[in-house]
Amino acid sequence: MIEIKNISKTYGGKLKAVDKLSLTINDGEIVGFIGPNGAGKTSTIKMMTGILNPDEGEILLNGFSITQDALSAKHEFGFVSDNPDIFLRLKGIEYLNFICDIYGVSKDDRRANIQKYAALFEMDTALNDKILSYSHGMRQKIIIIGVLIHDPKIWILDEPLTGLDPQSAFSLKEIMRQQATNGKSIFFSTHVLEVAEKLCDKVAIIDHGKVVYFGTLEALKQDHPKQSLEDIFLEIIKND
Amino acid sequence: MTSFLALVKVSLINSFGLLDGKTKKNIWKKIFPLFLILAFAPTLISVYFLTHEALIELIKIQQTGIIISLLLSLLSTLSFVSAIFLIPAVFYFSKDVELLLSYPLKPHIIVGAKLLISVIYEYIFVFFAALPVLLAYVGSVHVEPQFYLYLLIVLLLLPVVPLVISGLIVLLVMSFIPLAKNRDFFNYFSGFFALALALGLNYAITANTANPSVDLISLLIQGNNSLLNYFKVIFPSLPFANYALIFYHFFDLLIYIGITIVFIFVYIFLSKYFYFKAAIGINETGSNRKHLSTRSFSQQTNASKPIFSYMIKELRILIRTPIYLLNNISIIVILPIIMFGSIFAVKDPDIDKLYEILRSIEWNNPAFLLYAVGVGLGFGAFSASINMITPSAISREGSQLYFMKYIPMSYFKQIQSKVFSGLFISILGILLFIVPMVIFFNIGYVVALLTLLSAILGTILINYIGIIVDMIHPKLIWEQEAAPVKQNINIVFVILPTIAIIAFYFFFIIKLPSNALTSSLILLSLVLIDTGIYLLTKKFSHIWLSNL
Repeated sequence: MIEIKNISKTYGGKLKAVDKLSLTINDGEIVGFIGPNGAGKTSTIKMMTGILNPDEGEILLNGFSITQDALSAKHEFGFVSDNPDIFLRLKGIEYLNFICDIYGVSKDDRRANIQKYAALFEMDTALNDKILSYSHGMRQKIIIIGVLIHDPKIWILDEPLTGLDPQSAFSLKEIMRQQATNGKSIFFSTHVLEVAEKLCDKVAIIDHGKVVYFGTLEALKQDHPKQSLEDIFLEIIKND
Repeated sequence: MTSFLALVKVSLINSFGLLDGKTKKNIWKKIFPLFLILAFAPTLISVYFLTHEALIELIKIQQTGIIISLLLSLLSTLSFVSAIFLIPAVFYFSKDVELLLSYPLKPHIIVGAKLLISVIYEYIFVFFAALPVLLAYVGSVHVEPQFYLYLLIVLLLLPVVPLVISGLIVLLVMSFIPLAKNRDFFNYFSGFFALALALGLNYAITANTANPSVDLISLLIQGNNSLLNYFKVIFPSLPFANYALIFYHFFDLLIYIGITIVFIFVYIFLSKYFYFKAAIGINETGSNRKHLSTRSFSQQTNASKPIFSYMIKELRILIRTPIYLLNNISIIVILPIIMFGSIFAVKDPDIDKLYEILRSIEWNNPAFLLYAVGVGLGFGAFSASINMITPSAISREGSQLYFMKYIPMSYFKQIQSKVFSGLFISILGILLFIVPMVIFFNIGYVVALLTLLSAILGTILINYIGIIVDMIHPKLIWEQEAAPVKQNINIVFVILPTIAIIAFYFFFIIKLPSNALTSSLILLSLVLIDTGIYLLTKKFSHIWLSNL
């Protein structure tokens, strides 16, 4: 469960990127985080993961505060950043094993999981090559496998589908659905409304750092009958 | 012409941050050039006086021209060697070729702009290196007014021919050797080629100091600037530049300009056919895309403690990034080779006597103990500060710093892993100095162990100072991997306290009597300081890193 309570973040004393934002993502829910560029999505995700400290408010991940009890909170989630260009000089297998060491994954579990997910994402022949030699999509896949292998209770993903080929995007969506069915909380940002429509139990629409809509897509559509999701989104952003 | 100038301007802004007067620079960036000038001032002043002294002698034998000839030859050689690194970086690995090709730009515009950018890069050190020599020259030798105009033209065109020669070699290598298109391989290869060249030169110079070339002497005796012929072979335009500057031959200046222009045209012409084909499809690194064997998979998936795994990750990145391997690690290996190589290369009876004296010393005498501690401390501090591993440990993370913040590992443990990686390399450097000394100079084990212990304590201190400096003042915004290591002012903030610590301890080492008690006291004080800085890092690393 993710509880975001009244968090705010201001850059340089002037630009308010996030403004008293509150959200609750229950166990077993997939929540899509939608908003235009610069709306505050990445800042919110950075605060949820401990990369940034909120100026005010609190974030609890399965009850652990990301600011007060950071290490316990960090054990609860897996994070897929929007930039997969990380540890480019390590081989894929070395990166995955390093992640397993950091998250304390047992030897047997890591071996089974690496083999399983590398095969699923068709990365098994690339594991012994440096990440530097990977395409953008392959880098994204190795980061996603890095999250899957330590089996977190909460998933936080920033634009996870960018750069993935259709097969891998399908596999990831399937996995997200499966993880939610297993009672895990999934929170991801996206620009693609169709993905949100097909995958999410709820959507949070953010604009100028504030949540302008949070609820199910069905409820949103009922409020705006005969309109496409794109039109509804544009209308909400415009009215804000 | 407009598109050519636009391309050059954009590349300059991108490379140097030049022409970007509106950007506010912080105080460190403002004073960095001052540090550089201060750092190089002693060398430049020494070169000035050396040239001045040489000219006094050369005036007597009418050989003042040799200074101009030597200077131009040296600058051309430096341009040529540096171009081996520069040309691939600007022409092949700058990642902009494919983008530029999609613009409506003619090939010769792209090649011309890149060549001009490379020439501008070369100007930086050409003018730096030339300044003291030329000041001494015009101060000692009477020159006509046209000398200054000719000099300006010669220096402006000087890097072109070496750059083009180097560029043609790189063009051939890139076009016909597939492995060269792997950036990592190329960087390793060119880096170690340059190091081998430097080592070879060092060895040759040291070995031949006692036997100056007979040819050189006979040429000097001939007088009347006949030495000019000695250097003309490699760079065909140089003799004309020499004659233009020494004898004010305008016609030679024209030939010099003509040869330079011909080189530019040849390069642009050949680039049309070879360059673009080679520049497209450059790989960052090699790859196999093969299944891991069961054995290899098992070996690579063993579990380790997070702190150890993190340290191995740091070392892997340091070793596999060519620029870090060359700057942070190879220097540790190269320096002992240079030192011991230079000693063993010299066939001098005095050196043999020195060996005998060193071997006959009763090393276990208490009179040496305190000095062993001092030497060890010096080794340790030097080894830690020269490798720049901890002072750049946070800076090297760059835009990946966020990883440190979201993983479930405390900042302090991550910092410890980074310090351990620095210590590993520093201690390797210490051993590479101490072990050969024990073997070749028969230094006693007690003294050697004391030196080692003190070196390790010293290196721990400097590595922690390095990481603290980098936590407080990291250089996180960069595009090229070289920037956090080569353009990082942190080295100054590490070297200054290092010098202060060494001076502090050396004061006591000189003043105190050398015996077991004073040596133990010095070592104990080092242990206490190391403990203090460890506790300081433990207490504040969370605060320092949270602020980033």
